[in-house]
Amino acid sequence: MSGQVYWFRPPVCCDPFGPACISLSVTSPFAIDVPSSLLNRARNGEAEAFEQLYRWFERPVFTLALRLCGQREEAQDILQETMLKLLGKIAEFRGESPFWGWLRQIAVNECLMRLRKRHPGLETDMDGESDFLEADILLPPQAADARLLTEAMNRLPATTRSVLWLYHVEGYTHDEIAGLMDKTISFSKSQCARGGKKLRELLNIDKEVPSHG
Amino acid sequence: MADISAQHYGINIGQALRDLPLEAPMHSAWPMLSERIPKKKSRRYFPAALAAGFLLLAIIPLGLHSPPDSGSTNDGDLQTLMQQSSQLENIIVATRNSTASSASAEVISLALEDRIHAIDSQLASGSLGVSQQLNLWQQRVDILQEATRLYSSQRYRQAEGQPYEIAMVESY
Repeated sequence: MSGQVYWFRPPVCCDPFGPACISLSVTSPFAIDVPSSLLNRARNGEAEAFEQLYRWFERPVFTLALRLCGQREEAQDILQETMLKLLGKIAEFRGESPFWGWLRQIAVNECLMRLRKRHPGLETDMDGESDFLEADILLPPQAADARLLTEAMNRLPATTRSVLWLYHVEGYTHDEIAGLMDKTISFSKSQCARGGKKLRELLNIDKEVPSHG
Repeated sequence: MADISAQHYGINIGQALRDLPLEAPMHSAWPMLSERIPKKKSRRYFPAALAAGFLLLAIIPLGLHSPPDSGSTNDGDLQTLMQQSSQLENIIVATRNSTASSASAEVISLALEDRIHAIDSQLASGSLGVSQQLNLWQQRVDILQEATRLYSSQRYRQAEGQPYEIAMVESY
């Protein structure tokens, strides 16, 4: 609960490691265990069931979209599109993997599609730097300030920010990120390491005091 | 010693990002979405509707007035309660201070959350009649109003520089 703005506590997924084709990390804000009875009602077109699903996943979808795309208006559009696709495709959900992972994939695809439109090829200003730094970078204490960390994140290129978020928060592997972005595993690792280093620099900027010997 | 070394070296990037609060949209997309859902009567209400129809057929020849259509009123009431619930949740998200809260306030907050969670579990079961749903949604709205008051007074007390514990003793 710490740090989350959720007031009510949706039931957190207890067994996210079912037969799924992607990593399903319980650290993801999407990790909400949806009862099969609720899903069946939604499949039958019950508005109340959809409303319940919308309320549970509104903020996880919006947050993911905002972190990846960086703009509230675009995140609002992505939320709307994702939920519309949920309405249209829920009959296709077979329950072979957790519902939240399925819905999250719809949201991620929607985000990446928009990023590709904005930046064809998903370029970053950190391309070409192929050396790998440590992935688990430690950030300065300023990172505990949500506002400062959010501002620093927003100053990163959208693709770099997306890789960082998908890897560290949503728990995707580099292999999966590479597949989603049609890039190499090296690209994902490099973006993750470079993005972390850049984030550390951005957060440290106010602390750096010129030395007077 | 572990704490000292953590302080010295900083915060793990993954932990820092995961600790960022969830963001709320500027406005709910639900009103637009709800219009896209094809109007579909739930099957379980059909026998009740059929029975009501037979009753009407039986009553009309006797020259009695037909009973008011309470179904549409109930649906309207349900929609109103859902809307109130959604609005109150948005107010709570805007009002609640997740970074500074006393232990006692957290205990009350968690108790209210548990009550909401219990109601949500019942609503998710899908085997409820309209009157039961109305009852549960009304309870949900009542709890959310209680929570709104809790967080509003907490914010007010903090703004005034007063200890929140006193307010809680007065209220709870």
